[in-house]
Amino acid sequence: MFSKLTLLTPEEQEKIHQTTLKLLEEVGVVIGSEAVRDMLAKQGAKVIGENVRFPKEMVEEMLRHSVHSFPLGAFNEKDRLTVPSVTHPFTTTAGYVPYVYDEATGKNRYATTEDLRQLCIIADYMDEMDCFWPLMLPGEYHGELQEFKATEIALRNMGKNIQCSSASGELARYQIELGRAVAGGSEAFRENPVLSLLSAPTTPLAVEHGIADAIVESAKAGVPILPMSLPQMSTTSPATFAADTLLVNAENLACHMIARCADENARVFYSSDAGAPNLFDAGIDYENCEYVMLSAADCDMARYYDLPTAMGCSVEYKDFSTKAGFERNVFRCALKLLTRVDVACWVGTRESCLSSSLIDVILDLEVCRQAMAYFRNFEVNDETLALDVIAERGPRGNYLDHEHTFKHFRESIFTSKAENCYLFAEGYENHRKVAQEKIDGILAGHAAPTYDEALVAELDRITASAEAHLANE
Amino acid sequence: MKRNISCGGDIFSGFSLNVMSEEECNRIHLATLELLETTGIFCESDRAIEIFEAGGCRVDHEKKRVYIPAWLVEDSVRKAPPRVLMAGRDPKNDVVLESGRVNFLTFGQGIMVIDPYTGERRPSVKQDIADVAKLVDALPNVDVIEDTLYASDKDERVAMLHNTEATLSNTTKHQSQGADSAHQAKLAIEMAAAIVGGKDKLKARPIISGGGCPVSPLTLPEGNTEQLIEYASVGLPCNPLSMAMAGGSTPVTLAGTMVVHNAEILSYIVMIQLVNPGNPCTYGSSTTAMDLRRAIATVGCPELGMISAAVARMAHFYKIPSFVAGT
Repeated sequence: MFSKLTLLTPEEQEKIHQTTLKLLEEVGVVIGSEAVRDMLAKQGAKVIGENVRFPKEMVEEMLRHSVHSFPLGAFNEKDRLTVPSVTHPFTTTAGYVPYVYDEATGKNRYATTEDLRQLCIIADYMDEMDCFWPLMLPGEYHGELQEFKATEIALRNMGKNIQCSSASGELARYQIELGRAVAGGSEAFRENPVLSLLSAPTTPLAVEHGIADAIVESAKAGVPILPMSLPQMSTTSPATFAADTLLVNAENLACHMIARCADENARVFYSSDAGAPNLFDAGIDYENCEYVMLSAADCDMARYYDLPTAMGCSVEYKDFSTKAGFERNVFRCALKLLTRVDVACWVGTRESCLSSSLIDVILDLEVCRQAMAYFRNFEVNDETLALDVIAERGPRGNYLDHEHTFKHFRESIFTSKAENCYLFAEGYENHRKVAQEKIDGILAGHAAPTYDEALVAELDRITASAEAHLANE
Repeated sequence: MKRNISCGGDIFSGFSLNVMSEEECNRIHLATLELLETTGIFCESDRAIEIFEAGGCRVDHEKKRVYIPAWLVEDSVRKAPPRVLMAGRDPKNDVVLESGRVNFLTFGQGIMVIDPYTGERRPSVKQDIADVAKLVDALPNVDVIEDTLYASDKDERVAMLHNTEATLSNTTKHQSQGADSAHQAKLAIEMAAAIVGGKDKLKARPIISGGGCPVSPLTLPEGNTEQLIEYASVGLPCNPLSMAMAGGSTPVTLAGTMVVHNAEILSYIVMIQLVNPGNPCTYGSSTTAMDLRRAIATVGCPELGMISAAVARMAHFYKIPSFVAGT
C-alpha cells in the first residue's frame, strides 16, 4: 500500500458535496462570459444577470459521466503521461513570476525570453521534472501576448507536457493551434495533448469572462484543463477549513460544468492551491500547516469524485545553508506529495511566487527527488515479510550478510540524507555554486527537441498571427 | 486532566497518514504469531521464563528459548487496556493515552549536553537532568518527561536513581523511565510511592511508568525484562519499545522489520499481562533503518517516518496506545 495523507471522513466528504450542490443551486457562480452563460442556460442552468445557478440534478448528471483518466501528451514520446498517476505524483514548475533572482547581483530583475528558454532546456533535461509550466514570464511582452509567448517558447524548447495559463478564448485558440501543430493535427492533438491549460476561477465564486471562454475552447479541443481554485482562509473564503474546501469544490464543479457543457468528453482536473494567508502582511503563506491540510482535504474531495488532481504544492523556504534547512524542505515537500496528488505544481518559485531562478529549480528538484523516497509501496507479501529469513537467523542473529538483504536493500533503504547529495559535496555554503555548475553543464550539452522545417514554419506563422492580434499591454 | 487534541488515529478520520490496510496489518500479525510460536524468543531472564512457562508457553530451558502460542498472544492483546493514564504529580498534568490523541514527550538518553550558558559540549550531569525537568514542567506542549540525559557525575550503579530523584523533584508531570535492573526499578517505584503516599495510591495515580527495550532480533535482556516485571507487578504502566534496525537486526524490508518489531513488543505484552492481567502498557518503537555504509541507526530518514506510521497503525490494530520515538 502507498502512504497517503487524508483529512476528511467519508461522512464529511458527503456533507461537503451536498452543501456544494446547495451552494451551486441557491447561490450560484458569477460567469463573466455571455456566450458561456447562454450555453449553460440551454443545458438547464438558471441564469440571472451574470449569476448562474446549477440545479442539483444537472451537477449530479455531470458527475455521473466525468472523465476519470486522460493523457498528458508530450512531444517526447518517453515523456507522455496519463493521469491519475499510479506510481508517484508528477512534478512540475508552478506559478507565473515576473522576476528572476540574479545570483550575481543578489537582486531581482525582469525575466526575459532567454531566461525562459534556458529554463525549458533545464526542465527538458531533468528526469525529476515530469511536466512544465513556463513560470518565468518573458518581460519583453505583456498581457495576452506574454502568455502566448510563454507557451510558444516552451513548445519550441522542450518536449514534455506544457501547462500554460489561458485567460481568454482567443488566446486559448492560439495556444491550441500551437499545440496542434506540434502534435500533428487536431486528432493527433486530442490523442496526444502536448498542452494543458490553466484557467483559474476568481475566488469567491466567479469565473471571469476570458477564463470561461478559455475553458470552452480547451474542452472542445481535448486539452486537459486545470481550474485551479485559490481561496485564502479569512480573506477570499471564510476562515474555516470546511468553508475553504467548500469553495474549492464549488468552483471546481462550476468549471467542470462549463467544460462538460462545451464537450461531454472534456478532460478536467480537480485543482486547487488553497491556503491561509499571513494575516500580518496579507501575503500568501506557503509555509504554514494549513496549506498542507487544505491540500489533503481537496485531494480527499477529488477522490470522492474519482477525478485526477493538480495541486499547488509550493515549498519556498530556501535556506539550504544547513543540513536541517535542506531536510526540512524534503519533509515539507513529502507532506504535500503524500496527499497523493497526481500533478504537484510547485518547483522553482521564490518569495511567494514573485521570482524564480534556474538555481532554485535545480534545488527544488533535488528536494523532490529525496521526497519521493516516501512513495515506495509498503509492500506486505511473503517475500517482504521474510518469515523464513527471520526464522533462519533467529534470536541474536543479524541480517547484514544475508542474501535477502543484498537483494532488497537498494529499494528498501533510501536513507535520504543531505550529505549524500551532490549539491553539498563541497559543503552546505557552496550548494548554489554547485547547482550553477550543473546548470552550465546542462545548457552546454543538452539540446531542445528538433522540429522539421515545416513545423518550424507553421509555428512561425501562428506566432506572427498571434503577435498581430493579441493584446500586448 | 489534560486531554490533548485528537488527530484521528482511525484511518478514516482526522489528518492521518495511512501506510497499511487492515488486511496488511493482519498479515503482519499472522506472520508474527507464526514466528513467536515456531521460532520463539531468546529470554535471558530465568524469572521471566518461569512466568512465560506458567502462562502456557513452551520453553527450551537449555537454549533459554520461549515459544509463545498464538492463543496466548491474542489473549494478552485483548487484556491490554485501550486507555492508559499517565498521571502527573499535579493532577492538572495528567495525560491519557488513547486512540488518536497525540501527546509529546522528551526522549533520550543523551550522554552529552550543550551547556546552555557556555555553549560547551560536555558530559551531562545530574544538575542538567534537574534543569531539564524544571524546563519541561514549564513547557505546556510537553506532556510527559522521558529520561533525557545521563548523570555522568554519579556512580553508574545508581545513576538511574539519581535521574529519577532529580526528575521527580523538579517536575509535576508524568515520568517515563527505564531502569537497568529489577533492583533499580524497585527503588524507583519506592521513590514514587513515597511521593504519592504509598504503592496503592501509586497504582491509582501512576506518576511513573517503566520502559524497556528488547535487543533485536528477538532477545529479551535480563535487566530490562525484570524491571518491566517490577513495574507490572505493582500495576504501573509499561512501555516496551523496540529499537530494531532494518538491514542490521531485522530483514531489510519494511514488512520484515515490522514482523520482528511486532514479535518483540508482543512478547513483552504477553509477559506483562501474565504478571498482571489488564496492566496498562503501550506499543512502543524507536525502530528505524540502519545506514548500511556506516552501520548506525538513522533518524530523520523516510524509513523512520514510514515505520513509525506503520507502528501506529499496528498499535491501532491491537487497540493499544502507541509510543514512537525519533523525528
